[in-house]
Amino acid sequence: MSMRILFALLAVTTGCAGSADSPGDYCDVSLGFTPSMPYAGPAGEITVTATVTDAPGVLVYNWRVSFGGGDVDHQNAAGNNSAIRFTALDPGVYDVTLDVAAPSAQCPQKNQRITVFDGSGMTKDVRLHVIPPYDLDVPPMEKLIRIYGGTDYALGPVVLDPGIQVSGLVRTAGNVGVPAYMTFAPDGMTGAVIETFSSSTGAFDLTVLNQDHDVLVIPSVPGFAPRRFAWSPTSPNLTVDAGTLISGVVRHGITPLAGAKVQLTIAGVPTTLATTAGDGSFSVRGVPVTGVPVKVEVTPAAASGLPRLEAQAPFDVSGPVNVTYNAGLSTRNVGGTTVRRGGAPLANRKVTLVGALAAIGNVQAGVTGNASGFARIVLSTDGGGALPAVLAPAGPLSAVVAVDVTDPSVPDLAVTAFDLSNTVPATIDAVAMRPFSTQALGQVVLSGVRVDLVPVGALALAGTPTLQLTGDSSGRVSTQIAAGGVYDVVFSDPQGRSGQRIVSDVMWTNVGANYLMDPAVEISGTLSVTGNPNRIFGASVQILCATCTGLDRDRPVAEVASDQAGDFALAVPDPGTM
Amino acid sequence: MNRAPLLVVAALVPGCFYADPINQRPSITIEGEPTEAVHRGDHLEFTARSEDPDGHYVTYQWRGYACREADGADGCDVFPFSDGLLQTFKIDVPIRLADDETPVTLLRVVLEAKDELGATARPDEVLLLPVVNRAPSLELDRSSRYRFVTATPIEIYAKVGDADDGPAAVLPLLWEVFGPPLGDTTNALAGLTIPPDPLDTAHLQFGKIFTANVPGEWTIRVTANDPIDGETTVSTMITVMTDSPPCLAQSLPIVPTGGAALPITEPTLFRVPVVVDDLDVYPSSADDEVLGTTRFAWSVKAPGQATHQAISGAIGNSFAVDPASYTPGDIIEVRAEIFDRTNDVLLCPDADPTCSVISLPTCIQRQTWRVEVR
Repeated sequence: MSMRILFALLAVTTGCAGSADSPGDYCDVSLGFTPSMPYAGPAGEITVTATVTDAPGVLVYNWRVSFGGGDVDHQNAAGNNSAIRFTALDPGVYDVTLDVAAPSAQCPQKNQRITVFDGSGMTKDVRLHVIPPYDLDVPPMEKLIRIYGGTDYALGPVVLDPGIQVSGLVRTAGNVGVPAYMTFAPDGMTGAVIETFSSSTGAFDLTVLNQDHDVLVIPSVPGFAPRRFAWSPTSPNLTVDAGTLISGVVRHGITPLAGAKVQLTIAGVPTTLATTAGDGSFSVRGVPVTGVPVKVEVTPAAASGLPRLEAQAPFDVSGPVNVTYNAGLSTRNVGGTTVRRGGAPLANRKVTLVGALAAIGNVQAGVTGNASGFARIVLSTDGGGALPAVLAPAGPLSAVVAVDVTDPSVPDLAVTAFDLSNTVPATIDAVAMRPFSTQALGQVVLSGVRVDLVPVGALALAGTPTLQLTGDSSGRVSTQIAAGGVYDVVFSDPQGRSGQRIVSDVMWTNVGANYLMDPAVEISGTLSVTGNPNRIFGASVQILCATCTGLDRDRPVAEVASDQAGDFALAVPDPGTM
Repeated sequence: MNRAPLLVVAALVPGCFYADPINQRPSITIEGEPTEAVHRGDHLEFTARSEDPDGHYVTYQWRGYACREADGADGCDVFPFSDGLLQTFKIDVPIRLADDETPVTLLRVVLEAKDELGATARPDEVLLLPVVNRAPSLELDRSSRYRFVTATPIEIYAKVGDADDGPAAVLPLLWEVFGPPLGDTTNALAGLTIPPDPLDTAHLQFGKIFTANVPGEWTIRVTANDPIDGETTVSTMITVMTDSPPCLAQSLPIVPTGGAALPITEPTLFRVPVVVDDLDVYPSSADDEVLGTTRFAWSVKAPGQATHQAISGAIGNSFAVDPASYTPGDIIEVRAEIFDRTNDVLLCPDADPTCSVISLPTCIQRQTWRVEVR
């Protein structure tokens, strides 16, 4: 047999294997639905249409529509049964499943989750924040999503952009590398910040979205001004310099204040840090911008007893920045004040004197801005329970006494008014802890509910951490809280049965016997990366407040880790219906 | 005698003494005798082979009798359990005799045949086949929602069938546990009810909850006995692991390395968004009596402090640091440590920024941020 004939036979054989056994071929099935934002109700008719390719022949379509665990009636909407319509009476997520039987191909089952909205629902915008697991080098993602009252929301595929790897250099104009801390915020996605450090040679590598970014560079070595850049991956290098010298004087009345730390923040970019000289003068390096908010912060030397000062206004920093504490702002020596409980002195205890003080001075730089301040003075009592001789602002302060902090789950703290406005109190009575007991209620029994006691006021100023409690099988929590302490109580349900509820300014005297947690709607989705069929397992998925500032901007409303299938489901408070 | 008259007589005899040819009996044999042991319930097929010297058509009569082996052919039922007239005789070996109690232990197959003239094969062809009891079938499987960790329940499933006696006739299963040294096998098994499968009536399923007190190779042996003498034993080996230490999977903000410091100008939330663990993950969302959640501990090393000082009350997955609590320019260290229910002590020196109790850099229980207060 000649080789030519052999090849011909092989070719025929191969063709037979591929075509004669065509049931082994796969077809493609896709589903689409209209309207794109369906609303529930008797008129809420939804049409789902199947498109099948690579499956010749007369096809058999087997549809199923389910909602809330039950089947939903549907009617044919096409002569060949390739489309159906159904009425969504209730808001929520409807599951449409299609099996296609084809004579010559195997068609995969297709599922479409359709979110049907409540027409009377109110809306709330939240941030969906996704942090990939550590072993997946793709940028984080953040986007605004709108929650509709009374409606679970199936986001479907949530696809992360793989980004691109970028190598760059933080350097001087003379091409000398500069170590620095940097944040990269993608334009239009300011929450998806990527942080990095450049090395001692100024080199950095990171994976970012292939788009323009807002980059903040804070050099780690003296002599360079922090600076904000409009940055593109196509021009990765960043050039830093000494910026502009910004000078000023800090005085207490007319007396120069030495040893005070001064820092400005110009449109969110900090300057370098300076310490005032003997004549109260200081010089920081920064990048002035006209007409933007400038925050001036002064931290006097501890020995002065003066509070920290803050002022914010559109200061003109091209000229001198003059910071003045009110001349009448006085201090008092708290030495000798005895800290006690039940009349017994508390020896060797940490006591933090704190207080927010209004109108303690001003800052003049083109414009004049009033300054407020706060005190935070950490002391320890001596063996007799007495405070050491230390100056503190003569104002309405509070004392936070750490009576016993050996048990990390129930620190024994006390908050006591310590008003130095007119005189120094002889004693600080650290009142015993008080009971905190309440119950989280929901549509079902909320076993394992989480309750965070977030300190506010004096406790927060003293740096007291959030106390985290876990409810029992009936949603009850019990602990002890500081007498005189004020807390924001955050109820959240890790199991997603109820939405987060925050109760503000709770003291031991006004703890409710129970709190009804907000109804929840579920936000679900599936994580993957563009161009990669693998699902993302172990990513942190958080719902964050869209309008909050400060720490509350980072505290999740709900959080979960994606499962092996890349799926996640979060319960967020229902915005409600009208 | 003269030979000639004799020949004449002899020549005339055939005409005078004619008679029909004598019909001879057919001979028969049975083909298809099993070469392996016959079990109750087996399907058997026999074929009759016959030879008729006269070339006649032969008809058959099969009879199958259920018998008790101890009594031989005398222990058979009076009436056959099956009969047939075809050349092929197909039977299912009965389970019990006609009394519906006595197990079949002998099968008697009788084949009779006769030709079209009624000549019967002699003797009848008889097969006596010992019938043995089929042992129960037994399959084991196991599953764990807790990664086969010590002190957590592991579910063991046994699927039992008995082709001749039926699954319901199987005596209570014998469950035995063989553990590694120091393994306490006494109370390792607890009851677990498995609902019947209406689609599979040929089997029953039983279960046990196995809880190992020590790690190692454990063997679960299950024995199934039927009411006669059938016995099946199957074992499954389970590797039980110790509860692995939790792994700090994510941390925020970025952790400085190489002597760098993270500058903070605003109150900053230091966070551990995800912890991976066998049983105590974070975030924990499962409503499960066994699964728990990670325990966190936070500490800070402020200027002038020799070691990190625990922050009492900081037991959540995040810890807020307000730069206003410190003097600008201060370098502080913020530290998070994670623990699962085993509460492994982190023996690393306080100066080590990270720590892994299993010396695995990808699974750390401590993370330290070096922070510059601005």
